[in-house]
Amino acid sequence: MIGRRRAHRSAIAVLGLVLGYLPVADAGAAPSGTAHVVPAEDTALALLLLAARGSSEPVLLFDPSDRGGFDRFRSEWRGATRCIHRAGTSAGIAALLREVTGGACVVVDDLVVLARALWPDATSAIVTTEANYKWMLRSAALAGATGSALLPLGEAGGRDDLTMIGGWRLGAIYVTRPALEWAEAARAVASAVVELPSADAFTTTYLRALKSRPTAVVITNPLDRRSLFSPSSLSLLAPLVSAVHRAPLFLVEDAPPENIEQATLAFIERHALSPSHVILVGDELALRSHRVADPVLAAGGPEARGGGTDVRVELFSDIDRDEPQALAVGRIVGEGAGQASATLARQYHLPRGAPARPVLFFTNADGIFPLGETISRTTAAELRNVGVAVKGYYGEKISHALIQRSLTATDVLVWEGHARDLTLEEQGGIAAKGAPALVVLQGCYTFDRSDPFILMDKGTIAIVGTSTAIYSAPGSALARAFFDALLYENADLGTATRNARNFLLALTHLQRARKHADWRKTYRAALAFALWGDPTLRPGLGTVEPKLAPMTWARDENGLTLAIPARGLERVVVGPYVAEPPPRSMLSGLLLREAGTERRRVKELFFTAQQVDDDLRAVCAPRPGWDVVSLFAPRTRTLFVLARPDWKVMEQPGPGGTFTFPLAREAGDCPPLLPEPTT
Amino acid sequence: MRDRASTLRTAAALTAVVGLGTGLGLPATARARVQPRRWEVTVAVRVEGETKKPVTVRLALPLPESVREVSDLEIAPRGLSPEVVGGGEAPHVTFSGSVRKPRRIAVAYVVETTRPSRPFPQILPVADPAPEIVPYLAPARLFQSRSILVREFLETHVGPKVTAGGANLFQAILEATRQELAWRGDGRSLALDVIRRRQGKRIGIERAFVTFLRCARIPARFVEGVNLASATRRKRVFWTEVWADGAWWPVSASRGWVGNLPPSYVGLARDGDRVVVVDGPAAAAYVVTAHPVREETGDGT
Repeated sequence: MIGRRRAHRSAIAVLGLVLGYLPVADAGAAPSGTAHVVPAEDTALALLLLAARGSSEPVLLFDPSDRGGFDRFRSEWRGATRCIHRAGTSAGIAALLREVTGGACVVVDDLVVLARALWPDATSAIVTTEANYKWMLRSAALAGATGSALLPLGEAGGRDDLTMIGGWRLGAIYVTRPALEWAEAARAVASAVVELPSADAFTTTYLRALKSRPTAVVITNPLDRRSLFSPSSLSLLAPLVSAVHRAPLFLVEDAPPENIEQATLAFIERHALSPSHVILVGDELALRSHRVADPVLAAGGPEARGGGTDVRVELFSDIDRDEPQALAVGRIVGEGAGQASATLARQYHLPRGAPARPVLFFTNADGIFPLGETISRTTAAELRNVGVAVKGYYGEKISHALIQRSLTATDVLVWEGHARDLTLEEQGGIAAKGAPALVVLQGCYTFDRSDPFILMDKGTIAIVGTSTAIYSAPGSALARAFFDALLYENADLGTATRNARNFLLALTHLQRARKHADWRKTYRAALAFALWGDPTLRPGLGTVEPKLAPMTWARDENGLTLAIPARGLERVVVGPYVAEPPPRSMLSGLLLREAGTERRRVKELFFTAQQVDDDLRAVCAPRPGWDVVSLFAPRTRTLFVLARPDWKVMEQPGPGGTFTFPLAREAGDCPPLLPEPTT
Repeated sequence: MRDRASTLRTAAALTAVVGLGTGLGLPATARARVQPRRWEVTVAVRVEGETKKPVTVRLALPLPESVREVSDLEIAPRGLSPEVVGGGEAPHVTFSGSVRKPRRIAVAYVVETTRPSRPFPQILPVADPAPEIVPYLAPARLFQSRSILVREFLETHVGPKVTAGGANLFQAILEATRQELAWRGDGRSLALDVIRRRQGKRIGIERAFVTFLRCARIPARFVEGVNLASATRRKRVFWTEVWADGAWWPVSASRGWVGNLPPSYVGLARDGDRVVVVDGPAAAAYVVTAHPVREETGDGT
């Protein structure tokens, strides 16, 4: 073994030429923007490539049983493609790799040799053992984020592996726990050797090496490769996600969701982190979501359509404890590492300009949700108000053929109404040729169907969906709040989802306070929505200055000042429902009967999420006629405020005006409101 | 009452078509009960329409199976134009014309079940399926095999038995389906609803079973048929077919039998196809009547 490894030393330059990874080997260098294809089953080789190249170039993990995403990416990729595998790769996989990449593959036999070719200019390296998957993940995360070379020692490696890096001017070598016995050998080839005997020591070193304050934490379960039916192996991609976001990687094991959250929050505390985002890399089997009893059913209400008796609630939601969600959360999901690697490659490396194609709304295809359609039409109007082109289809205009055509005709698709299969043919088979980057599936149990995974195969990067049955009013209200954050706050997907869910939670509190019997339906929707995709992603909708002035919130020394424009968006009438909200106002199932008619006006509400740096955590009503709900998330110091005006009490004919809401430490500290003086 | 003048006799041709099967087999185990193997069947369809606009009613004939022979086909079209489509995987009769007032059309045939020649094989996942099998591994609207719910069910209830106990995958899925999904007459009928609720009608349990098998890469298809021995009006019954050794094999998770398709069961439609399909401004409802032609005695007692 030793002799063979030494013999390889002389082959490094040749290998470099073949791979094109050495700078001296321009003749054989991979052109800039080469996609690298690696067998998904070879975790060590895959991690090496992901750490070395994944941030700058596509690295696709090839799984012959999970090829949809791979094939789609290949059809879109305009650069070169190279495959690489080890000598021990099965002949069948090797042949398939050659076939799908259209050329000969580079065959490697020694990962340390390969590492030297991949990181020719590295000034530091991290040593671990190939057999220890957890430490491979951690090491790959550090290598990817800092440019350190990843040196995975094989079974018989060690001193001899390390002697091979002699002459490679490394200033520092990090030696991980499974490789500690080779620390002495490392000292022979580097001026500084840092031993990392524990996960905490690793994270401390990682954070020091980053030289920047991380804003996200990446969580994965390294045991996700063991499952029989869902060997998603998504953990393989966690180091890449960690590197791209320069975010620490935290490994959890199969555990109840409460334990995952507790362990993660303890990790955050131990390392004095203050993330705004949590990126889960794993499906709901590897990183289990909460199961909460359906609040409607539990209170004696009707069973949810579709038979669900509980709601799957995303990790770190807080909403299941009736608290506002503090962190923006998203889940990198795929049926396997191959599909997810293609999704990430698409997100990181395929060009995505501001979408020139209209955002598509498919709303109320069954024609039975006039209230939801009313709200949805105002959401479309909100997009138009900031210059975003929209095509909206409603009711019976939505056909299977139209859906099929539309999947390749937009970058953002919004579905509102009873869930339908967007991607499946009537009698089975997949109809979709492509799919939009962002899909909002506002309907019942949309995450339970096959659609999300097929959409990802076809090009979708992020999906907002649900885990239970949703009533149309809170569902459409959430979609409206979600787009409000994207359009007016330039929020990322995770923050927009968080704010929209917190709007529904605040609405739940408002409904309870106003004795609305249906508040649990709103609460169920707040629990059920989640984001599958990178929570830091900004879809870039290409907004311009609003045509109609939106409502605004401003913080000053007196509190929060709300300015409501008198002019509303274009009037929408669907069935008995009518809405004409001022831009940026929220809507819901709160209705006002218009005197003398059967019309019901959808009541406008005003919502904001504010960062607060002091102890003022509650918002008070500015004057009689306002109902105010304030929810404070201490972890991110975010104050969510929902305000409902009663214009009659204020003796106003309708929306409009400027109102200053005083701030207080607690709601109980708010000054008593005196009746308006009458003249 | 039948319109004998317009009855078409196409028994020979139809028998030739529907008799071409794919080697469906029953186990050698004999059934203890007396099981009639030859039945005279009538499917009567009441069609109601109110306009002159053309209507087409498509009525399924027995699916082709090697153990089943269909003969003596008679058609009572009652003024509509009948056409027998005997070829392919889904033989049927279409009735075309206008239906301005309700009428009762009918198809009658004799069906006879023979004994299978091959034992039920071992059912295994298919790594490299032939193109014609791929659709039976794919998700469909009724079989959401790429759903996270489906994988969660299998991971929770089947995975441990297979990995720790070394159980056969197909058997483990069958057992888990029978143990975890309870039958209820007023239960759910869509697979995901049944999985969520952990109970369903037989049709729902069978759909869930097909979905599980497809997720586990075992080709599976859903069969709707009639139980000729049933006393109900439509005699609907459902089972699953799984692919192994180049043939489809019957199994029922909702009733618990493997391989021994009862001789009174006749398949009419697969994978969500309907027994009666109406194209045009009319509605249709069907009734099945069946009588054993000759009683046979079981050979296992």
